[in-house]
Amino acid sequence: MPERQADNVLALLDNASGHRLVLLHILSLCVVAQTTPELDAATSDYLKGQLTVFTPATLRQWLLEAGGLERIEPVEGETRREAWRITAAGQIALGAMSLSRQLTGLLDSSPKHRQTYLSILRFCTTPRTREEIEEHLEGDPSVCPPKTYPSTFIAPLEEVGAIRWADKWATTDMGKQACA
Amino acid sequence: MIGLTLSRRSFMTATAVAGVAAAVLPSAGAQPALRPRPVPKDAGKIEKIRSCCRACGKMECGVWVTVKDGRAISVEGDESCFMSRGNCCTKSKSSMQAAYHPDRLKYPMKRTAPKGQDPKWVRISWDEALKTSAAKFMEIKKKYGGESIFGLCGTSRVWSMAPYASFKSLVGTPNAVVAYQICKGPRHWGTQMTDLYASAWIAGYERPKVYVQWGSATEISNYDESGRVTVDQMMEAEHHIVVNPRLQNTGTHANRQGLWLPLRPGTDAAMALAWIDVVIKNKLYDDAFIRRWTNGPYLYVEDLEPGGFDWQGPGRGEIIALKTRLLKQSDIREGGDPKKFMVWDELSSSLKYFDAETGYWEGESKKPLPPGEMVHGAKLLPISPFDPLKKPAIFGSYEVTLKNGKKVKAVPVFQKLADRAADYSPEKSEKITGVPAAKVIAAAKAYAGKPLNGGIAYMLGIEQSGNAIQNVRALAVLVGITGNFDTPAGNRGYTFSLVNPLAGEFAFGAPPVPFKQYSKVLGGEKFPLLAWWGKWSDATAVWDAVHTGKPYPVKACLHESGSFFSQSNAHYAQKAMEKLEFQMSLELWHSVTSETADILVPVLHWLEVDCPRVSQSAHSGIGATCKAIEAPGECKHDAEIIIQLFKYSGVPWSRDKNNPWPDLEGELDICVGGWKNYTWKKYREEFQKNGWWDAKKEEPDAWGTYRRYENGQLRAGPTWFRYGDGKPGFLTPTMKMELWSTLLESKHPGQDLELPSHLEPHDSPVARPELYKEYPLTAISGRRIPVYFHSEHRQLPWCRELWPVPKMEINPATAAKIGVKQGDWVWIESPYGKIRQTVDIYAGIAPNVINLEHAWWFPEAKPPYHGFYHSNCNILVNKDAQCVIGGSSTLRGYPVKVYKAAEGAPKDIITSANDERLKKWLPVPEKRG
Repeated sequence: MPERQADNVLALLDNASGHRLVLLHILSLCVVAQTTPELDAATSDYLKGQLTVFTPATLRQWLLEAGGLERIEPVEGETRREAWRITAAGQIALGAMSLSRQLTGLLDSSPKHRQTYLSILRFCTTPRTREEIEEHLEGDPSVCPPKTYPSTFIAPLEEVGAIRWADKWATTDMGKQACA
Repeated sequence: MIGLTLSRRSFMTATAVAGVAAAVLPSAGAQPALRPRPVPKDAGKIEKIRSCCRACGKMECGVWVTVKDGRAISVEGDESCFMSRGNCCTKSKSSMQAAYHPDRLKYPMKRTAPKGQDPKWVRISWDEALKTSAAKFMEIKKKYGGESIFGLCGTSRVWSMAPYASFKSLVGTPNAVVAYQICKGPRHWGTQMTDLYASAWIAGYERPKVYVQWGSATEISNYDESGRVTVDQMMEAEHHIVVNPRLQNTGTHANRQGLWLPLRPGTDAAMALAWIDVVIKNKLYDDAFIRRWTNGPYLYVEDLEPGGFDWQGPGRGEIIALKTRLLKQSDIREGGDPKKFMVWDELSSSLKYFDAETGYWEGESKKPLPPGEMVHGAKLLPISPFDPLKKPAIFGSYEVTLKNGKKVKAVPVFQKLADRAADYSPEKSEKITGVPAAKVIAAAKAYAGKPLNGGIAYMLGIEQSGNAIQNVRALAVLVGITGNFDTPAGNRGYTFSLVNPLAGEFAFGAPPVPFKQYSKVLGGEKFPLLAWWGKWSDATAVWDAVHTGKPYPVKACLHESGSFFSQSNAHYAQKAMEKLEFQMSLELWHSVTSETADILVPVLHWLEVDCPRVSQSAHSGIGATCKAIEAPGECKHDAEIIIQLFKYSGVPWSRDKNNPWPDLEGELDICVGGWKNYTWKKYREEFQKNGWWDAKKEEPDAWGTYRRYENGQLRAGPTWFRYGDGKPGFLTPTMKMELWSTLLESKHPGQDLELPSHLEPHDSPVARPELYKEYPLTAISGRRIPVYFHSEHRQLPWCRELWPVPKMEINPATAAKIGVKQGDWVWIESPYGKIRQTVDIYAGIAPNVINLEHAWWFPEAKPPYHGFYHSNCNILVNKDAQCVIGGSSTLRGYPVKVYKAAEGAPKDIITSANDERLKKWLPVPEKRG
C-alpha cells in the first residue's frame, strides 16, 4: 500500500515543476513532526528569494492530499497542537528522490559534461549572476551554441539542489561536497 | 434569452444560409434585410453602436450593435462596410451569448493545486496578479536568460497579440509559439521572400474574372471574402476553380464547370508547377512584367562561388549574408558591384545590369509616371518600358566570362523555372496529384487565358502539409508570371493604412530584442531563416526544450488567446505546458490552455472593446471595434493588462518619457495618432458618424494604386509600420519578384529550394508506404465550421446545439468497408495517439482519405483537460513532420486507421441539442458583477 501511495507522491513531485525541491524539503523536515507554525516558517525560510504563487499552507496541503504527509490532530483540552509528519509513502518517495544520488547521476551521466558541471559548482561557491557564469564558460567545449548554452548546465544543477538561486546562483553545501 | 431580439429560429436560418452558401443568389450590395431596423418609439433607451466584429479571426465585418438599457441585444451587418457589404454571420450574431455567458472569467485568479489537476482557482487582486507575474518573469530572466520565456498566442483578436512583439521586448526573448507558424505566417513569409509581405491576399470584392479558391473556404468562415461576399464573386466570375482534396460547398459550383481539382493532400506545389508549365508552354505569361520586374532574366551560373552582400530587409532578427550564384558585376569585373545583377540583352547581345541598390536598370533613372487608368477606385499604372531600350533574355543559355577569365554557361532564371515546371507537366504531375492532366490544363488555361483575370485565393489549406513555404512560393510565382500581382482583384497584400490596429502589440519605448538573441531562437538550427524572420520560434522545438532542457531550459510562458494545441503534437504540447515553472494567462474562459496557468486574468469580449481595425487583407477598410457594453467584474482590455505588466516590470512602454505607461485611451491615441493627428476619441466619433474609410482614397499612392513596384510604394513594408525608401521594385534582396529565392539559396544551400519545388509530404503513402499497411487512410483536417472558429464558441448554446459533436467525413464505400454508419462514434488512431469523433458519410471525399474536425475540446467536461483528449485531432500528429523552411506542422495528410468505438461517445460530454447543460450556459446579463 505505501508503495502505491508513494507513486502519488512521486507523481506530484513530477508535476510540480519549480516546486519539487521545496516539496522535498518539506518532506525531509517532517521526518520529525513539525507543528504548523514551525513547518510554515521553515518553508517560508526555504523559499526566501524565490517567488512562488503558492503559500506554505498550499504546498503542505498538496503533500497531504498525495499521501506524503499526515496531519496530527490537535487534542482538545491538551497542549498538543496541529502538526505534520511524513508518511511511509512520503519516506519512500523521499528516498527515491535522493538529491545527492541525483547529483551523482547527473555528474556521471556524461563524462563530456562532467567538468562543465563541476566548473559551475566551483565558480558559484561565490554567488554569481547568470551573465558571470556565461562569461566563465566561454571556451568550454561543452557549450556549443546552437546545440547547448550555459543555461543547459545551470538548470540541471538547480534541479538536483546543487546550486540555489537567491538573486545570484550559489553552490549549496551538497554541491560544494561534490566538487571538493 | 430574455431581451434578445434575434430568435433561435432566425439564428438557425442564418446558419443555414452560411452553411449552404452555394444556394445563395448573387447580390449587388448590402442586403436590405440586414440593414438596421427602425427602433420602436417606446423601446426605452436604445443605442446603435457602429463596430467591427471579432467572432472569428480575420475578416473585418462591419456591424451595428444594438444596446438597450446598457445591454447588447443584437448584432447586425453595417451597410457602410464595403468589405462585408452589410453581412454578418452566425458567429457574429451569437456574440451576446459569449459576452453574457455565465462562465466568463471576471476576476484575476491564482491556482492552488498542482499541474495536472483541477487548478482550484482562488480570486486575487489585480495588484497581486500583476506584481507576481512581473516579478516571476523577471526572476526567470535573471536565472536562465530571456530566451527561457516564450509567448503563446493565436492569430485572432488583434488587441491580444503581445506575444508576437511587445512581450518579446519585455523579457528579451526571441521565442513565441504562435498559430502564425501554421496559419498565415507561411503565406506572409513565403510571399515576402518572393514579392511582398502577405501578398497572398486578394481583394475579392473587386471581382476576379476567374475566381480560384485554392485550399480556401471563405464561404464558411473568416478571411477576406467571408460568407456572402465569396458566394457573390463565385457566381459572377467567368470561371470558378476550386483546388481542394475535399468537395467543399462552393466546390459543387466549380465542379459543375469541370473545375474542381481534388488533388492528393499535400501535393499543391506539384499542381501549381503543372499550371506554370501550361502557362509557359502556351505563352500565357506576362512577358513585359517578367523581363522588367522579376529576377527571371538574372543569370544563374552553376560554376560560380556563391557571393553577395549583407541584407536584412523586413526581417526582425539577424542580418543575412547573401550567397548567390546569380551573376553579379563583381563576378565579371575586379571591383565590380555585388548589387548589380547581370542579364543578357537580346538586342545588343551583351551583358547589362540591374542595380539592386538604386532600383534602376542600367542607364535608367527616375522618371515621371503616366497617369494610369482608374479601375475599382484605384489607379492602374502601366508596366513601364525599358529606356534605353533593352530586352533581357528569359530563355536560352549564354556564355559569359568571369573576372578570372574563365568562360562559363549562364542560364536565365526563367529558363530554369520553365525547366523545373516541365518536370511537373500536367501529364507528369497527374501521377503525383491524382488529378487528370486534361483537367489541370483546362484550369490553367481558364485562369491564365486572358490578362488581368485576378489573383488566386490561396489559404491555409496549403500551409499545413509539410511543404508550406514552397507551396506558397509556387502560387506566388504563378500569380506573378501571369501578371496578376498587385493588379485589380489580384494578389496585393495587406491594406495600407497609417492606423495601427494592433493595440498592445508594440512597445515602442521598450528596448528591442537584441539581434544576438535571435540567434538563439528555438528551432533556428533546423530552420535557419527563423533567426532572420524573427517572428516565431518553432513550436515543436519549444516543446522539445521544455521536455529536455536543450538547447537551453524553457521555464515560463505568457499566454494570450489561442491554444497550445494549434500545431505540433497536441499531447506532447500539453505535457510541456504542465511542466512550465510559471505561466500567466489572459483569457475569457477556463480553457484547456488556461488551466495550465499559475495566474489567470480576465479579458474583454469584443463587445466591450475599443480598438482600431484595418483590413488584414486587401479589402481597403479602415474602421474600429467600438465598446458597446460594460465589461463584467474586473475584466480588463488586453492592451491595458500588458502595459500594466510593463509598468510592474519597470520597463517603459511608450517613447513618451513623461508618460511611459499610458492608460488604454493613451495607447489607442498612439495607435491612431499617426494618421491625420487623430485622437482615439475623435477617430471613434468620425467612425460612428461616417462609417468605414476606404484606404484607396485615403492613401492614393501607397494603396490606391495598382502595380506599386512602379511608383516606389511597394517597399513600404506592412501597413502602418512604414519604413519604405521610395525606390521602385520589390523589398527582396534583388529588388525584383524573386522567382529564384536568393534567401533560400543563402540559408538552405544544396537543398534545391531556390525555385518552387514539390516535396513529398513527410508521412504520405508515397513517402512512408510501410506506415500505411497498419494505418491505411490519410487524414486531413481544418475545414471551416459555420458556428465555430477553431477552438472557440463550443460553450455557446446556439452554436453547440447546432453542432454538438465532432464529425469525421468518410467516403460511403470506406464506411461500408469498415462497418460504420452515419453518427457512429469511431476511434481514429495514428502512430502517435487516438481520438474519437462521429461518422459523417460524405461522397465528396476520396475513399482513402478522411476529414477530421480540428480544435475540439468540451468546456462542459471536468478541468483541467475539459475532454481535450477525447477528440482533438492534433493528438494524432507527428510533431517532427514539418515544412523544411518554416517548420509548419503536417496537420493535413497523415496516416490513420478508423474503427468503431464499441464504447460509443465519451460519457462526460454534450452529444445532443437536448442536453440540459446547454441551458446552464444561457446568457445572464443581470449577473455581471
